[in-house]
Amino acid sequence: MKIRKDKDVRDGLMVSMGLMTLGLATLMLGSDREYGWLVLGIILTLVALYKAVKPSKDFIEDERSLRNKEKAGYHAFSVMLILIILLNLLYFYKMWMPLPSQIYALLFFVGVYVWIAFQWMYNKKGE
Amino acid sequence: MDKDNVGENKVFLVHIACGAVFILLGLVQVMRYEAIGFFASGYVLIGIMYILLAVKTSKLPKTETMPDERFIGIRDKAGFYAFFSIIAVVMILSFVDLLLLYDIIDIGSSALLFSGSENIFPLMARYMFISFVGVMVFIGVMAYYLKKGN
Repeated sequence: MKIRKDKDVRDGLMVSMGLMTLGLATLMLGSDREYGWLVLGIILTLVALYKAVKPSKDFIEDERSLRNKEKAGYHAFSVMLILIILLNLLYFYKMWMPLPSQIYALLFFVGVYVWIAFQWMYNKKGE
Repeated sequence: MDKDNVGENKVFLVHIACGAVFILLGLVQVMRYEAIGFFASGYVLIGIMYILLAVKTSKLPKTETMPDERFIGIRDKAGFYAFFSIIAVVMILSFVDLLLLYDIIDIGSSALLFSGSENIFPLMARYMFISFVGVMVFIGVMAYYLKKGN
């Protein structure tokens, strides 16, 4: 098994190490709820290591999946804008007044999962 | 402009409906909360812009308002970048909020965006910031790729 040491792998490891440093910094500040950075860093490290043991031509995206990714990104962007407008109205009329930290988690997870769902849908359905 | 095609294109009806909804939302806000008409004026402005767009598209034939393949490709690409910029802004804001929560940094109460939750509308300012960054990235990337090509 040959392990690659090129630019992609190095960049992935750099990003994951930066995220883990941020996570450790927040933990050292005494926070008990920002484990997400650390978990994200660990996941990205595993992804980078997985990519390192595969040949680089396995990860060249074809036209179709790139197109689906971008299309899903556009629709996720629209969904997030509509969601932000709705949350803003709810806050404005004092129907739901959450903490900012709750909102960040909500926006992050809704955005990422909507993106994944749209990508799955377009991959299945075609154009 | 082909005269036979005038009136065939029904896109302007959608624009008129959207404009009416936005103007109604703005008027409701003005009537319920007179003091903060500033926020409502944005809705009314969007409504007026939709109506102007309807006036413009009502005169165009159907083939001119349909987006072509290149435009759709660039729009999707711009939306993709805007989506990830929103995700990045959310992550950075959550970190900045954490720093504010533990009093690591203090930039005073002048900037509403980074003020604590004891202020009146801190969350609204954050919503505005997130959506503003997203829309600006979308417009910027779109202008870039429309100029440069795919």
